Amino acid sequence: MQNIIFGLVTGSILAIATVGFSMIRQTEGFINIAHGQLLTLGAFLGYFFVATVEMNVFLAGLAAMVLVGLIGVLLAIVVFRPVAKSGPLAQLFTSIGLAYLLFGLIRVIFGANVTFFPTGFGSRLDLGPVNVTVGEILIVVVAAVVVGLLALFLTQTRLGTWIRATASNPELARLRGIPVNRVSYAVWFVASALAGLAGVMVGLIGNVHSELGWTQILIILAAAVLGGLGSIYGVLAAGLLLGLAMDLSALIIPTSYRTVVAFGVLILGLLLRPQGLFAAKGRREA
Amino acid sequence: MKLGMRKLIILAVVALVIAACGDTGGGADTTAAGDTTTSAGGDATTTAGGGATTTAGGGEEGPIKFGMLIGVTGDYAPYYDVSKAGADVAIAEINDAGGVLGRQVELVVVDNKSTVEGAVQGFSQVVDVEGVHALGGPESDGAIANLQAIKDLQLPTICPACGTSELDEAGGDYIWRITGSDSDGGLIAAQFARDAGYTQVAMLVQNTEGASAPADVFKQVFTEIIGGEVVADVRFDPGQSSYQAQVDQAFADEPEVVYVGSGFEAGGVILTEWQRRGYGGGFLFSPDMVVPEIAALTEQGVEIGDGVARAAIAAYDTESPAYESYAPRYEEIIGEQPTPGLYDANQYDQYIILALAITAAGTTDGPAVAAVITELLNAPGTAVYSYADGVAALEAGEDIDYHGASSSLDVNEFGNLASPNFGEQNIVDGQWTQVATVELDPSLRP
Repeated sequence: MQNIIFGLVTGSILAIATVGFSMIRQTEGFINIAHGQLLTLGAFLGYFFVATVEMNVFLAGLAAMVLVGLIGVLLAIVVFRPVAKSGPLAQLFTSIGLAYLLFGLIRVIFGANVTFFPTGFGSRLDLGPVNVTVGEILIVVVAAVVVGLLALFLTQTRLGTWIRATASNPELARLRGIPVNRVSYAVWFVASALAGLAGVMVGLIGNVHSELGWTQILIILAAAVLGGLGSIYGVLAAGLLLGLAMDLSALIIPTSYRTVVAFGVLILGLLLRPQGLFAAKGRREA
Repeated sequence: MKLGMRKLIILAVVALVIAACGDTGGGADTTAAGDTTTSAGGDATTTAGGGATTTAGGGEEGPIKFGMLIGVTGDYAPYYDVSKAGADVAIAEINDAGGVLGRQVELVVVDNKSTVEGAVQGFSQVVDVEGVHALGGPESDGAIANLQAIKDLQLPTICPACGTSELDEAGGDYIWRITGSDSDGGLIAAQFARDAGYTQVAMLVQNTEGASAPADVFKQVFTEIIGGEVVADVRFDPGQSSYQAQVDQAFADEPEVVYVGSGFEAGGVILTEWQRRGYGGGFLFSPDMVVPEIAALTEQGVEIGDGVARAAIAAYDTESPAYESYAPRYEEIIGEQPTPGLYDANQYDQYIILALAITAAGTTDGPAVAAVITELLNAPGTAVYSYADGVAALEAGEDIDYHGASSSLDVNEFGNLASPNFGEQNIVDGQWTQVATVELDPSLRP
């Protein structure tokens, strides 16, 4: 039971990170490897706001989200927009190059040292056979609220409808007069902000270091593929599933195989449902 | 042209794997000086008489040359100044006492650039070009890389800061190590556990050679020699965002103490999770955890101070007359007291040993010099604490037992310290503080 708690926390963070990654994939049509570095940036900015500016951790998380979101928009304008016409392969490798650039900049600005959030994580609550900390509850709750708000945004607002329309068929959306550039920037902002939030969460439960992005992006990729790449709800489920699988696997195999477990689940999932957990069967990806 | 999503993913994963392989990473660059690597030989500089720069000599005429193959640049450059200061104190002491066999001694410094490649190239330079009579200064990787060449060339060599367990049974003929082995970190932790009366421990160990090797020694000694029980042996990969499941496994059976063999990156996460869940108990840390970042966690509410977490790192024998004589001379150069983790006193000792060995052998011939090194480090013999005293005793026809500034320097048949000194470290007022000195109990060696 205790490992289910751990898995829920891990899965919640992974889901938040993967939803943003999947949004970019769905609307922009390429795999953004730099998403992991935006997560790292969020972790460092959150740490900076808490440790240096002495902000409340919630405000720090919000500030980090907004800043990383804006940086994501800036990167879209400066880096990805100019290479968009060269196709998804060019964008993919541009994102890899950008990931290295961001990695280097993060190390220059924040240093290569490992740091820890100077904030407590709440007291431990014993709930029968399991225990949980207030901080862990908050992570799961915040993740659920953010996902709920995102779902409302996508389904109940005009911009959200435009995003879904553009993700479904960009050319048709353009022909129907949807301002696809505005939609694109909105997606970049939301997706990057989610990466920033995931970074703050990772930093809170673990530590903050410049390698965070590299270690997270492979798991994010696995969750995105398992979830079906195009399905927000699919990647949410996949994130939770992978988180639970990794932490529950500790009960039967050495914990050093956590990443192996994640990819094992991915392979098994793709064998059983090649289109992903929630993607429509038979759909072909561009 | 459209590319299928799966092809893109395969390309992405391949690119990431290639990138990951090429990335040396920065979270894991918090290793000890003993793990220094070396690189291509750079410009050689020679000093004599404690600091004056001269031209290199060589051969059987002119000055006797001691090589110092060390990382002047690269990852281990921060250790260079203190290492060189320790060596300079020794060279000055030797020359002030009349040199060796009536010849002045020169120190030939070659930069190995803190890489293995540099160590190999630097070794060639220091031997073939500079023609040194004996060698000091190498770090772990460099010593291992040149080990066979050292033996083939019969070059007396002393390793002042090599922690690698690969030297545990590899020396004693032409190479000696005058600092503790990484394996000793496991031994001393087991000794702590024994002395504290612990019978059940758990282990949380990072899957890296530097952490696993001493942890395996700890486990072997604690279970087979001390008779204790390891109730959980949890191994983990570094670089994860969380270790909740691993920490929970380690504490599941409520061990009396948990041995943590880890770098501080993962170790810090482990400790915050331990505090968060209130597992209680205590810790025995590997030396890599003895860093300010871990001590600073106490200021964030992680209650590992006041003996809850104990560790041991190499310590100098500060009561030794050799240390008392060496320390002020070192301080005159650096401006601070010697620091055990920087191995400056070991750098000093190595050249005193080599000078005494050549004096005892009466020649610079490699095999003859190597043949006396173990003898002059071990009893029986007149205990001597300086080069001058050693020469005087040798000239009086006595056997000598040199006690150095770093430790008593007694060595075993493999050229390793028999009982290296350790300092027990506790966190006091947010800082690692040495609370006691401990001599390794040689009866615990497997």
